Formats: sequence, C-alpha cells, structure tokens
Amino acid sequence: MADKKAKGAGNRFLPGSNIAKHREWRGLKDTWYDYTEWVKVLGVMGGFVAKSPVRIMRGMLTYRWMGSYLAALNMIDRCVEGLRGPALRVTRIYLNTIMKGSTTSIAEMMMGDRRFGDNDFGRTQVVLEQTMCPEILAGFPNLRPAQLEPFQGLLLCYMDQGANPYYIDAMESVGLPADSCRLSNNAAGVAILDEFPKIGACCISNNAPCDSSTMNSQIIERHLDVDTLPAAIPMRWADPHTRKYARASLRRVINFVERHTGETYDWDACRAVMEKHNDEVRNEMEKWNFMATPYTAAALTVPNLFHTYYYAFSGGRNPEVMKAERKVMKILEQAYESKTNCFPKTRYRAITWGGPPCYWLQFPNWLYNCWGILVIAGMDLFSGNVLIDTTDEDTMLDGIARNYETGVMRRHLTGGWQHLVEFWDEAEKFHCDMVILHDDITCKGALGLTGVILDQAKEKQTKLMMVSNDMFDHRTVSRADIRQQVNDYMYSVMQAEPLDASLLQYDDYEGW
Amino acid sequence: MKDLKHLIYFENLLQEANNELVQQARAEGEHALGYTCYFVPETLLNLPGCFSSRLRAPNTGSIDVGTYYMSSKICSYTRSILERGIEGGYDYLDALLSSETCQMMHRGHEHFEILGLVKEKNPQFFMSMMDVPFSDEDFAVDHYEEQLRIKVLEPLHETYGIDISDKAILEAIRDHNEISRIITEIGDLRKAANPVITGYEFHVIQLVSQVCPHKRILPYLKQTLTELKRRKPDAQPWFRVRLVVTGSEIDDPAFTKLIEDCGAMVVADRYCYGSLPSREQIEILDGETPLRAVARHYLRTSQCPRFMERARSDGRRTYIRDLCREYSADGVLYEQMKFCEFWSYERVLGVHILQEELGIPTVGIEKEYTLAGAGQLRTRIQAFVESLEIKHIQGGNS
Amino acid sequence: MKKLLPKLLLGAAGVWVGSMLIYWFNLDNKAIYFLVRPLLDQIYDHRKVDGKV
Repeated sequence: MADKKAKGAGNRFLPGSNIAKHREWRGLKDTWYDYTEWVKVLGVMGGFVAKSPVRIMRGMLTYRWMGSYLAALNMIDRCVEGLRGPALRVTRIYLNTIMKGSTTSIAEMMMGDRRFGDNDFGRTQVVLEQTMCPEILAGFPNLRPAQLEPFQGLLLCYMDQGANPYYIDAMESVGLPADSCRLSNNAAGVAILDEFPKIGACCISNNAPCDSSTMNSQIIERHLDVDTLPAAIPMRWADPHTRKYARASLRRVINFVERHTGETYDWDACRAVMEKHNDEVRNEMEKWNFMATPYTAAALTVPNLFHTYYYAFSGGRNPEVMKAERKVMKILEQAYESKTNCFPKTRYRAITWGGPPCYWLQFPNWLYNCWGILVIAGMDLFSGNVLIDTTDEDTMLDGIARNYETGVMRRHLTGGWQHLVEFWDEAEKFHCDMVILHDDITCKGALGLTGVILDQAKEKQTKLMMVSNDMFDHRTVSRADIRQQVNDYMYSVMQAEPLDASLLQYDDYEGW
Repeated sequence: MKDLKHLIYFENLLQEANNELVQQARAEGEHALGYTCYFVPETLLNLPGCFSSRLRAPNTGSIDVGTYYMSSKICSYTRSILERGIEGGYDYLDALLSSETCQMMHRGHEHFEILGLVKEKNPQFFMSMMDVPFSDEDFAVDHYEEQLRIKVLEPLHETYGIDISDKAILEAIRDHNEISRIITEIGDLRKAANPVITGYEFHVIQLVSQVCPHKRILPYLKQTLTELKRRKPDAQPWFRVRLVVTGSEIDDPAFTKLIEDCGAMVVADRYCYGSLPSREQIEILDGETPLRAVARHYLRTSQCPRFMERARSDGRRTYIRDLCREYSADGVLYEQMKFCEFWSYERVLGVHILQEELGIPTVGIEKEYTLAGAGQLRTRIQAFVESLEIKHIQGGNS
Repeated sequence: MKKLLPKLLLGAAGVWVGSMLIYWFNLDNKAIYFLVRPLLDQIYDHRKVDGKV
C-alpha cells in the first residue's frame, strides 16, 4: 500500500472518490495557462449545450452514458497530471480539439434523435458502428457520419470507470459469459437497455476488429430502427488477393447508402476528402520523427488518443484536426530546436501494446509521475495511417478499405501473427527500452500469442512488462491491481525505486 | 437394440487422429490433409491422391504447453489441438489447411508455422491460411473461389503434384456426394418416432466419416446402413424427449452419450463436426465450374455465426426451427465451447429467440472441450429433460 | 457610463476571482461528483427497460 507518510502528488486526492482536493500547482505561468484552457473547455461545453438545449437536456436525462460525460473536466485534469511547458501545451491543444469534436458529435446525435421528435436533420446522418471509419462517406458531402459505439463505450470508459459495468452486467444477465470482450459486451448491453439514440437513415455495421464485434453487431442491429448492412472486409488484409473483394464490399455499402438516403456518391468530393485524410497521415508520420527523439513534447496518453480520435471521427472531414496538428508541430519543432527536455522525470522510454485498461486512460501519466516511465507511443498510434491513392475509384476504395482493415485494434490482431509482434520493431524505432504489454484478459486475438511473445522476450534486450487489465471493467482488474503489477515489476525486475512514493498505491476504486 | 457390427471398430478409429485407416492410406502414398473448420471444404481435400483428416484431440489430458502458448483464456479445443500438435500427434500430416474464420483456431494453427510443427518430421509439410468472406453474395463467392484456388488447390498441386483439374474436382464432388448420401440416409433414420439408431451411434458414424479417408471408410458405412435398415428398434422408445443439439465444436461422442444418458435422444446434430450441414449434395448449376460449385455450396450451406447479415442471422434460427419440425424434436440444446466469442453471442441470441419468439423450449450450456464438469452438465440437462416432460404432461402449455 | 464601468470591472473581477477559486479548489468536479451525478443516477434508475436480447 501507499506510503502514507510520503509527501508527493498522491496526497492531493480524496481517498475513494479520488477527486482532487485542489488542482495542480505547475508554477505561475503553467498554472495560468492551464486555468485559461480550463475556461476554454467550459466555453466548449457551453457551446455544446447551446446547439440544442432542450434535446441535449432530454438526452442527459434519458441516457445514463451521457451523464458520465460530466466527468470530462476531470478526465482532462488527469491527462495533464505532472505536465509542464511544451508537453502541457501539446496535450491541452489535443484535448481541446477532441472536446470540440466529441461534443459536436454528441450534440448532432441528440439533434437527430427520433426519441425526441423526428426531423430532417436525423435523416442526413448515417450510423457507423464501432470502429467503422468515416472515409467511406467522403463521397456523400450532404451526409454526416454518426458513430454509434465509441460514445457509449470507449470514450465513456475514459471519462468514468464506473459507467460501463452497468451495460456489461446487462449482457451478462442474459447469459453472455464474463470472458467475452468487454468492448463488444458493453455495446451490446447499451443496445439491450435501449440506450442507443434513434438516429440516421441507415447503419453500416462491420466485422472489425474481431469475432466478438462481429457478433455484437447482430444484437445491436436488432435494436436499431434503421436498416443495417455490414461492411465486411477481409481478415487476411495483407494478402493481395483480397483487394477485389474488399472493394466490392465497400461498393455494396455505397449502393446501400445511396438507396437509403437518395444521395449519389460523388467521387470528386471523395477525392477532396481523401487528400485531406492524406495530409493527416503525412503529418502523423512527420510527428513520429520528433517523438523518437529525447526532446519530444508529445508523449503519454494523449497523442495516442488524438490519433484514435481523428481516425474514428475525422477521416479528412474535420478541419480542426489539422489546425490542432499545425499548432502542435510548431511546439514540437521549437522544443526540438532548443533541445528542451519536455519530460524531465524520464528514466525509461516505453511503448505500450495490446488492449489497454480504458478505465484508466491516464495510466501513462501515473507511470511517468511515479516511476519515470515515459510512454512514447501505444499500439493505436499505428492504426490506419494509410496514404490513399486518389487516382481513380478503385484506388480510392482500395485505400479506404485498407485504412479500415488496419484500423484500431484490427491492424494488429488480424491478418497474421506477425502483425501483433510488430511492437519490437516499433520500440526500436522510437528508441524505447521497455515494452508494456497490456494483457487484456478477454482479447483472444492477443492472448493466443502469449507464449510466442514470452519466448521472443527471452531473446530481446528490450524489457517486457505484462500488465493485465479487463479493458472496460475495473472490477476484475482494478487500477490498484494494475499499479501493484507495475510496482512489483519495477522493484523486482528493474530494481528501481519510485520517483514519488505517494503515488505507489492509493484508493481510487469509487472514483471516475 | 442389437449392437451395430462396426460400432466398436468405429469407436476405436476415433481414439487417435492417426488411426488405422489413415495409416493405411499414408502407407499407400496418399497425402493426409488436416483441417478443422467447415470453411475448408472437405471435398477439395479428397482430390485423387489425398484425403481429408478433420483434426480432433481425443483422450486429451494435460494441455499445459498449449496453455503456455495461448493462455488459459483460449478455448480448450484450440489448446488441445495445439498440445497434440506439439506432442507430435499430427506428424502424419502433409498439410494443414486453415482459414482465419475464428480468431482462436486461427491463432492455434499459426503455431504450426511459428513453432515449425510437423515440418521436422515431414519437410514438405505446409500450412496455408485462407480468407473467408462474411457474405454469400456473388462477389463473395468469387472471392472464396479464388482463395480456394490459391490457398488450397495450387499449393497441393505445386507441393505434391495433385491433379486439380475440373475433372479431378468433379471426381471429388462425386466422392463427397456418395458419402454424404449414405450419412444422410443414416441420419434420416433419426426422424422416425422410434428410431433404429441412437444419437450417439450417429455421432460416431458422422465423425469417422470426417476423420478417415473416405474411400476406406465408405464400405463400412455402406454395410452399417444396410444393417440399420434391417435393425429392429426396441418395443418402446428408450428416450423421454428428443433434442436438436446446436453449437460450436463438438467432436466427442461422449457428450452425446451424456445427453442420451439423461433420457434425451439427440435427433439432429447442428454443430461444427455435425452432419447438419456438411452432408448435403453438391450440385453443379448450369455454367458453373466444379470449383465454383464447391465454393458456392460451402459458403451458402454454412450455419456459422460469423455471417452477420440479418437474413443469415435470422436464417440460422429458422433452420433450427425447421430441424425441430423435421425431426420432431421437443427442444433445443445450444452448446458453446467456453471462451468461444462467436458461439457465446450466438447462444445468447439463439436461446432468447427460440424460446421467446419461436416458442421452442431451449437451454444453453457452456462446456470445455473435454468432459470436465460432466456432473454439472448432467444436472442441467436432466433438469431440462424433466421440464420438457412436464410440458408433455401438461399438454405443452406450461 | 462612468458609473457603469467600475461596476462592470468589479463584476468581471468577481467572475474572474470566482472562477479562479472554482478552478483551484476543483469545485466544478466536486459538485458534479458529489451532487449532480447522484441526482442523475436517481433519474436513470427509474427508467424502465425490458432488457430483451
């Protein structure tokens, strides 16, 4: 347990709720900066409510998951714990952009929700299920993608660790085993509790990333009031013989959307959006060059989060993404040129891999503040990143399919075992001396290679730390359990001492 | 009923993958082609010069090494197959044909490549992994057909010189249709009010047809069919209720025996390794090549939960309902191998829809590959049988 | 105008000081965690659902 006498950041929180007694003192300049950013976020939230006050209020009173979004301010605070100077700024810029985009998406969801009255706006939306990326709708400039599961699952879990078990339990109460993937389990639970908004003209479901998401789509479909078509793309995506089928699958999706919305696919509009998508990807690759240096201002959880965010929600359609990236790149360049050590507590550089504990988004902040482990990159950062050839319809469809096939989680969990063990190479590229392998206890695609990874670790110089989690369910492997696993490893294997003993262990079980 | 002449012989054939008939075929130069999933068409593995061997891991004991490689949270069937592979139980194979259809089995088969299994004993051994579509539309059949050509036929031709011409595939289809006709005829005997075959016996017969070289098991199956046609049933049916069993991988006839020991005859076997589907006739439509016919047949007859389109999803439930009618079943048992993602959801959906929407009494169970926890299973099945009996007594109104 | 300006400045200063206090003492999160969310949970708990698969 925590050394209660130890002085440090751990004493700033109320036990149990883990709510901060006061915000972090970062020196006058950085605290003032953080305050101004906090005010901006309040503005974003105000703007969100102003978009459709009545519908948003009704949504807040109807959907349990929406109530958890009130914890957004807390989530942001936790993501910037221990950060100063350029690192703080990069993180804040990304978080503000995510906040703007997410609140806009939720507001649009409420605006189109037929529960609160039918309207034309709702019929301009096309529901995208789970990790279906929005690029496929790029040729429908009049239609809006409305992502269904992330807001009731992934993002929700980031805000409030106590939110998802309610939906998980709903599925388990009808017989789904507790060993089933929590991400899919959660979404199916939202469906059977009738907490998905009634939106859109039609829905595109998908077979990504894995078996359980293929199956939960079949439950979700039963609870939507619109027609659904799966965009079923190949599993063996690295096999060149799968391309024709991948394109045909997506053409079928386009025809389906045309039929349900009366819109016609505009390939020029698609090309224009794909060019922007490519800008996002090129920028990402350029950013990695900075991240590989000791002077990076982009690290810990948020750069990963931002990547996932724009992969899932932008696909070249959201100009705010590149606006934020330009600001961030400027800070990264300055920090590199001035040889600023933006993360001065760093003792180890790490890469994280596998399904993370989504109920502890700020795990990398804790690793950094407690043990000096700087998480440079995570698995999701390497998802998508496909430069799409805009020569003709076929090349664009091929690129969209490939971007989707290599999307979040699917990139590394399907198409062959080699993809999952790419972390050794990535760790080398980012000059990491440690790999933290998230052992998601329900992820069958990753668990199936446990022994192979352990065998490989014996031959490598890079240290491998395996840390169990239950992705969306903090009751099985709590944050405290995760901390204990890391502490044990650091003491026994690394023979290290913590930077801040007050953070070693604390009670945050009842907290967001 | 009088014992079936070949039953003990059949049971012995199921005691190990490399059984007597497999050994005979290998000794005569035929190539043994291993597979586990329905999406690897058995038909194409029975081209002239080779034979199919659907992998089982009978008499599985410890699976510690399989568990080291795959963790304890992977289905025990996959771990057992891997364990048996590491032990050398599949060293007789010339190839392992696989598909990325279920994540766990896919990972299990990848270990054959990663750990170099079988290869040490047989340097020509190869493992091939197919992509199988999630749809059965024409474009998906095109894709599946191409995958079969590139991932199954061409490697067989290149490595072992197997004839993969249309003529050879046609011959394999004839072989499939013949063995399927016999198995179907035997299986249809279960439709009678007082059948001359038990579910257990049929399970054994169906399994030997999958794990033995077709040409070598066929004479025994024909004799068994003739014998069954003459067999006299007991004066009164020995069972109290009739069940359709549906679910994931079931290759252990002891499970069927356990159900039947509880007083329920298994009249229809709709599960991986079962005969429904798998023993339907392959028809070649006008203008189709034999390979196209095989691709279309397997894609459209499959009842795998990975087909996620609504029509296919609903179709799986109506298929079970129709089996209940055809085989006069009183209820349905939905089985799921522990940790199986596909069948965990399918079981939840299936039990709910059959029970609540189609009014068919249904029970769902979760089990391990081996019959560990048989006591608990027996209790659940007995309770289900009793509930069906009560329904009978109350005129089906409870 | 002369009278209004000091009042406006005073009001703005009050808002600023108030917001700084809310920010520093984390009163926003405390209010949401200890007051708002429990009330919302009561509303959510009254929502009727059939939970059908």
